[in-house]
Amino acid sequence: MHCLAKKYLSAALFSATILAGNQIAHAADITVMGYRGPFEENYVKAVVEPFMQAHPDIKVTYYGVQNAATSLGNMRAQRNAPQVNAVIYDLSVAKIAKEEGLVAELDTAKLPNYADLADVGKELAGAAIPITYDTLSLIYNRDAFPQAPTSWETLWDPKQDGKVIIPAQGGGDIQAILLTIIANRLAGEDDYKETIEPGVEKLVELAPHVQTWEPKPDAYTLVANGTASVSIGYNARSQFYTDHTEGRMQSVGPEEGTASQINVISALENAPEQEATETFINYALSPEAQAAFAQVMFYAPTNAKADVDEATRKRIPLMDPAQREKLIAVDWMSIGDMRDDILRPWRRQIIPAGR
Amino acid sequence: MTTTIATTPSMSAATPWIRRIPLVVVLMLIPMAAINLVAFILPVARLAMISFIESRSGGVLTDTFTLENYIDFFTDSFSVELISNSLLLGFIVTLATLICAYPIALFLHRVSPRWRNFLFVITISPLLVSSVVRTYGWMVLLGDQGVVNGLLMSAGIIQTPVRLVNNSLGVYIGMVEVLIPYMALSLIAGFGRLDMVFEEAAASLGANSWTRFRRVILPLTMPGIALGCLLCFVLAISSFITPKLLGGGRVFLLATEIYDQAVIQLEWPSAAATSVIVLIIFGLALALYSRVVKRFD
Repeated sequence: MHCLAKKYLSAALFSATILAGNQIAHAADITVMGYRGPFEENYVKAVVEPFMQAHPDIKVTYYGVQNAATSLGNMRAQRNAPQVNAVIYDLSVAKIAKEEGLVAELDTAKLPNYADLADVGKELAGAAIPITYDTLSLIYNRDAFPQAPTSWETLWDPKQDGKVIIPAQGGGDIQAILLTIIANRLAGEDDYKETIEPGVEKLVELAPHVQTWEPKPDAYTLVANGTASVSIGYNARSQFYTDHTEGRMQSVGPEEGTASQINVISALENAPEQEATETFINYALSPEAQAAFAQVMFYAPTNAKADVDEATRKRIPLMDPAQREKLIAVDWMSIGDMRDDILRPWRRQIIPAGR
Repeated sequence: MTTTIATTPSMSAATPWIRRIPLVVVLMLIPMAAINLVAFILPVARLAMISFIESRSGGVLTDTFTLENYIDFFTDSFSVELISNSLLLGFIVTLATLICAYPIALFLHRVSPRWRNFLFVITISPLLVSSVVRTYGWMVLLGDQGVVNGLLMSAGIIQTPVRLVNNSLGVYIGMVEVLIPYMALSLIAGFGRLDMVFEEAAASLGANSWTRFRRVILPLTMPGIALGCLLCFVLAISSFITPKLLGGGRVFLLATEIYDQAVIQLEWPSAAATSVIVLIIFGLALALYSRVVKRFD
């Protein structure tokens, strides 16, 4: 009996070892790098945790960084041995990463959800897949505006002298680039590729009214606490701050139309666990993941099949057909080539005009 | 054979110098030298290498080496503005800090030993608080709705807020406050030669207080002034946090430009070239300092 028990025990241990081995062989740990702060907090809750519940054999760690440029820096530093498997960042930065060979060209045929994505921001195909859309909004302090502003021209309103904030970062910030394109249209020139001179002149007029070009900690906080009355900001974060400031800060998609910013997801070249990474990316593009993140963070989903409730849709300009109609097209593939032409006037004409 | 003959004289010349350094000293220096090599020399060498890499439009790094980043810097009039802004900030802040810290240091040097330690701790106590926190404090004090504007408006001196922050003035105020403890410490360290006996001797010969200060105190405290000015100048022209927080994006300096080039424009080679140029400016400042200090020895 004793001998038999020993045999059973050995067999059981052997089976357990084999099973555990199998389990370990299928398990994968992947790291996804992306924006930190509210984006990280909500992305983990809305996408990462449900994914891990649906795929218990894949563990996802979210690594938050300050911005897309920091992601690019990390990718450059880890070029030969990436510690990150996938990255969520801005399309214009993704173009640089692709040209430097830092990201893998995924076969989109292997990602079933790719076919359901909208066409905007698909220029880099499998190397950078659109994951969220956002738009530039006019943000304002509720108490400073008894009637909600409806136009970008509010920034130029003499009544707002010294109460306007433009997050420009010397003209290099994406918001500054978008504002240059919008100002160009306000000044009568629709094609920014032709010339940005009218837009620059329009921004030179704005400069003396500007309180700061580098708001600290950010424009949303300063508008909410009344330090400034009007500024520009991304819609997703604006909606988030509206909820977290009890509505003191509000945002609006102006009647002249707005421009979009696109976040994409890439798998890193030379990173391990490509299969698990592709599984995660496909999930991140799925209607349920896209809808869940839109509900909590107000980014427009890139998946056309994402089912977002009516209350959330009203707070995302890109989900409003009228606003989408007026969307100002920005070719992010050519913005890199134009960056010097945009930066130069910001540093030499626009910001100095407000000193 | 030829090699042996060629190397023998140089080796014999080097031997006495090496022999003078005890082995234990060499061994003790190795850890620090290794840390310096890994944490400073190699990164700086890598930085210098990046400064010669060519980048395509949008900041894409290539494998080609070029002098273009340096040529662009020196042929761009904006670079002249950056250098002059940084040097001007360095000079004005250093001078203002010296004027503010000199009386404090002189007082601390003369005060009775019983009080000296306590007052010394008070002087350097701002260093216990992060400069970022102190700078945010200045933003609160100097802002349009801040304490200073509030007091001036409630006193009826001004009707609308005066812009004290988000410009050069805000940066100067913040930098001077941040650097005063460093200047005071350097001055006190350099006041070793100053002795009341010399002042009493000058007074007994009929020198009034201004003459005593000009002819006795100032020359004897020059080593401290030179040390403090060098330290504050280098800290001022390399400062980043305070100009970034208090400048409102209007104050363009070498340090803030490096950040913008690297993090906003993603132009790493340009940022590396600007960093190397700043390093050279530091080197020149140190060389100038050595010459000035030698004159006082």
